[in-house]
Amino acid sequence: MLLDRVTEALVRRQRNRRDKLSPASSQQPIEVEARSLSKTFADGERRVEALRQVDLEVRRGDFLAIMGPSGSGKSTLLHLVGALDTPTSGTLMVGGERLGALSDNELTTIRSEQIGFVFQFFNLLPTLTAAENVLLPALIAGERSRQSKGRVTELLGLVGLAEREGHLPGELSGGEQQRVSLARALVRNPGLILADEPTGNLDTESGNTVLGLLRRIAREGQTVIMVTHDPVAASSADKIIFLRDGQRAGEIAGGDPQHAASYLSQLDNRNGDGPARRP
Amino acid sequence: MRLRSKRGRSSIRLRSFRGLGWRNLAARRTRAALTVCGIAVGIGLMFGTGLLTTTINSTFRGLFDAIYGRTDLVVSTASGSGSIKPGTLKRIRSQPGVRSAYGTLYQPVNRIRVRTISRPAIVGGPPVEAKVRRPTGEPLNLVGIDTRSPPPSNSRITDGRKPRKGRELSVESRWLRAQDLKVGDRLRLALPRGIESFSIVGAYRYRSGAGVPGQSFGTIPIGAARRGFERPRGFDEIAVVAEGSANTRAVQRRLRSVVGQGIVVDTPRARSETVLNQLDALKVVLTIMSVLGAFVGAFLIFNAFSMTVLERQRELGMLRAIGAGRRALTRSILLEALILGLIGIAFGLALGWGLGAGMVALAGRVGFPLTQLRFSEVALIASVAAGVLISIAGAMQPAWRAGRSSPLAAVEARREGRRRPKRLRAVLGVVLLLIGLASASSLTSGSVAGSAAVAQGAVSIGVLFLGVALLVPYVIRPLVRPIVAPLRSLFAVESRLAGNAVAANPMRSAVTATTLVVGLGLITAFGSISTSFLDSVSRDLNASAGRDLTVQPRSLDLTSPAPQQTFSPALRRRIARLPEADVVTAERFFFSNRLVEDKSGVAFGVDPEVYEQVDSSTYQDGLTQKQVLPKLAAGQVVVSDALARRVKLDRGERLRLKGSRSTRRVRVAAISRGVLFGGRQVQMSLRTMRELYGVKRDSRLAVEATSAGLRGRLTRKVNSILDRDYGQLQALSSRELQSEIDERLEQQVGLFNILLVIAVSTSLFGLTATIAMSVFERTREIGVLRALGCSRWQVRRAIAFESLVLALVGALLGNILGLVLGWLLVAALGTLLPSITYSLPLEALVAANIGALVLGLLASILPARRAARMDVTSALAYE
Repeated sequence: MLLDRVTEALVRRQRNRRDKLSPASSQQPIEVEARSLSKTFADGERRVEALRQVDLEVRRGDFLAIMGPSGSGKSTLLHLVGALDTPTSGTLMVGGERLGALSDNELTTIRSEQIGFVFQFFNLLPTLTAAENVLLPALIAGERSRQSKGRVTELLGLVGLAEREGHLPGELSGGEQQRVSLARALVRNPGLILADEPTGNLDTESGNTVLGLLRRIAREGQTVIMVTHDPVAASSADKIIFLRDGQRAGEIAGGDPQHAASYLSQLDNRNGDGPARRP
Repeated sequence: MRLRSKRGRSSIRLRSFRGLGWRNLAARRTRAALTVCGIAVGIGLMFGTGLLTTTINSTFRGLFDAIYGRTDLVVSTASGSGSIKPGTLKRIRSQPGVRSAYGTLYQPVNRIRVRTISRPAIVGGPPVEAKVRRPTGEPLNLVGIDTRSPPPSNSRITDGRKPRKGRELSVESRWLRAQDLKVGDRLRLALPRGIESFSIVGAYRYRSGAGVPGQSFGTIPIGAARRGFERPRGFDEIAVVAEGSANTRAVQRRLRSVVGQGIVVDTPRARSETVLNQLDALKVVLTIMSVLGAFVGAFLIFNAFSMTVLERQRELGMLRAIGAGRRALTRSILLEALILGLIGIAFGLALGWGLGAGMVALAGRVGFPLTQLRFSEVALIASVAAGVLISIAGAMQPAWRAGRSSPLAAVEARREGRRRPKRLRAVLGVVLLLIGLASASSLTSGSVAGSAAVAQGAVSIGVLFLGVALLVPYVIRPLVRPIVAPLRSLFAVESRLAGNAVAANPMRSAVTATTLVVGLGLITAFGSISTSFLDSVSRDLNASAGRDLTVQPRSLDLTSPAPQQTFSPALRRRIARLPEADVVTAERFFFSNRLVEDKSGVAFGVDPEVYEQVDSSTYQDGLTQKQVLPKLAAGQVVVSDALARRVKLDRGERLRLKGSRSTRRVRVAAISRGVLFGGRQVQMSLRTMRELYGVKRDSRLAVEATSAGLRGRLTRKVNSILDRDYGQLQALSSRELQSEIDERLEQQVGLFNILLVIAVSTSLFGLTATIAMSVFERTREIGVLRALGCSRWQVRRAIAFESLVLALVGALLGNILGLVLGWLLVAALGTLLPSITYSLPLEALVAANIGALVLGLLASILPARRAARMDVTSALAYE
């Protein structure tokens, strides 16, 4: 009991620290706002402009897909929004917080408290069970496993893997691993879910299951931003924005995979002159 | 990594983020085991040498406590040789505060038994049986005591009684059991006068239980000792019991004022400390070994965790991405290192105990007997603390790097680890290399001495190796091509793959090769010291060899400061009467703690009239025996270069020699060269030695035949005399003499080499872990090779060759580094032993390089097997 009280106090302290960073964040809807966002990489002697003056606005509860040819900067944009990387110039606000002004520790806290990631290659720890993988972000934040166990079970149930919670990633299919990854992204109840090619390594059926879960999450009020090259996956989003050569190259509404494919194809065909792309 | 299904168990066993460390270790059992083994060896070495040091201290303190158990003060000669005059005993007894005082005589002896041996009666003839007298079993330290006195030692009779008169002997019961004797038996002992028969009347043991194998004591009446030892007057020691222990200091002061010059009054504890101080050099060597073990252990941890962090880049990036801070990751890695360290410490302590016991046994075999291994809390605490420290220190840099992992690593495609070394690393490496070389070179000037020099040497070696470790990545590529070239003609594909694998990732290759560079470099460097020392001894012996035979005790140990057996001049006269003998001259020597200005050394007495005929040594400034010996006859002395340097003496200057008979200022006739006796020697005439120190018995005889053709006959006759009446002595030709000295020195050096090899054997663990890592990183590449038609055996060979190439790179660099360092260390040693000259350690080089190749092949066995067994489709799909 004493341990529980101490743990609760620590968790409360962490939440207060988060509120200090953005005193209004708990009251405001989480949104993403980027203005003239740019990212330049140095590749030996060369400088590669991965993003050039990109503007973006995502409201709470939106399900946004980002598409573009290879090297268009879509993953770079996702990394910046996810506080994995810092912009070279421009402003980026996530949940009312200006990311460019934060220290590494503060960015880490943002990632822990406000953002959930779904990776293309799942990135589950092979030595942990499905339940433990889902629990991991909570443990990192200092919570005890006892406190979060219920939530873990609930989330695994949500993604349809309640009976597989004791299995190691090596014993799960690709689709199951991605669902575990999704549950992990949700365990801290973040306002923003970022998915980088979530169906890239999955078969059609598994991919559809994952997409369905992402849609459901967005319907329940969380903001979802997904990077994909798959028009079918993109069409499950409410809106699709396109990037080409690091710049915005249009947007369409979701729902029509053929339209998305056609738009992307046009972008691909128009590709020719432009700055060097980051490999 | 092998994963086991956790079906049926709780799905959440992870309680906190800290628990991830345990899980990671459990998932990489082989690597964890290898790391633990390396730490265990390092800690084992440290603990074992610590126990050995404690045992050495305990042995001698316990021995002195037992021998002088009832004695408050011990009066002896300052020089360690010669006699205390009878009048001194009277004066001591008359002093207030002295309850009792009794004089003793002392001589190490052997039990003699008649044996039947087969040997040719004439050279080249058939072997015939002959009865000879030979020493058997442990030597015995025989003490002649006044039978009216209480025993100076804290002992009690367990059987029989004390000796009273004549040739009666009472001896430690342990020695009797070892000799299969009992009270009532008779035995023959080889005394300086000759072989005499004694009756065993009593057995005793020390009340404290202390007793050292090889250092057993027996007592006889002093009258028998005077006759047998040929010491009609005087004493070796006087044991004093004070009136109440509180008075001891006051009595000591009083006695010091009445005993006269050349005599010292010490407590038994002070005497034991004096003996222990003589072993400082050995303790320094043991300390170096333990530091070496710690260093290699830390390096192994660094190696293993560098690999781990490299391997887990994506995982670490993912943890950062989902909210783990830098410090949390750093702490996690350090926790893993600490866990491995604690496990390694546990195994290491057990290993250390076994190692210590083994070294105690080995020490007994090389003529340095010790008691049973003693436990030491200090060694235990130091080893545990060191183990924790090296675990944390070794993992510090990889842990810091882990904390610096970018969250982007979670999302970027896995790179095949082709990190290029940074420029800053090269600069730092060069700077450290130069600092290490400069520091080691400065030792050759002799401006720093003693323990400061040892500490500076150790730091120099550490800095030097660190610099080399930083620079190794830059030399990997240039070295790989010529190393791989000879393999291409036989195994074109595998050798090319191996060469590419090593060259493609210079950072990873460097981490592996450096382990071997350090190990082989140390073996080569210290091999240089031992080879140079042994070769210098051989050179000295060759230079001085001009005799046909040397007659000496079988137990003579020129490297030991312990009192050696001596024998009567009657033997010399007897051999001189043989018609085949042209020259028969005595050599007398003894070790003294206070030979010159309280510096220890060996006093060496020769007959200047004839010595030139049996010894052709030369001296500094080109002086010969012909020029120097007449000066010895005139009372001058020859000082060895090491001792002259230590006390700042030059030829023609005077020095004070304090003996038990007199004190004299003598002129230095010449400076001699030599590394025997630690290079600290004062040579004088037999007459000077007798007048100063009262030495009258011979330590060795140098014998020259009248002609080369009569050598054989002379040898047979001398052997016949020795077999019959002086079984404790032997006659050796020059070659046999050199072999015996070489063998004894090599045994002692061998103990050191064993410790060194154990210390560097941890390289095997580092090499295996790295090759395993290489296999892991190249999973997809191996899958492609197999898909393209590479057989399992080709894959195995490729991995084996890669390991071999790494081992050869490490060996080559280690050899170069070791030779340079060895040369510097020998030059630094030359400030203490000016006569030592550098010799190439050919045997050490060959052994070390063969060892490196074998290590390379052994290290590749498990990883090559794993690579060959890889499922092709899984490997191709690996990301």
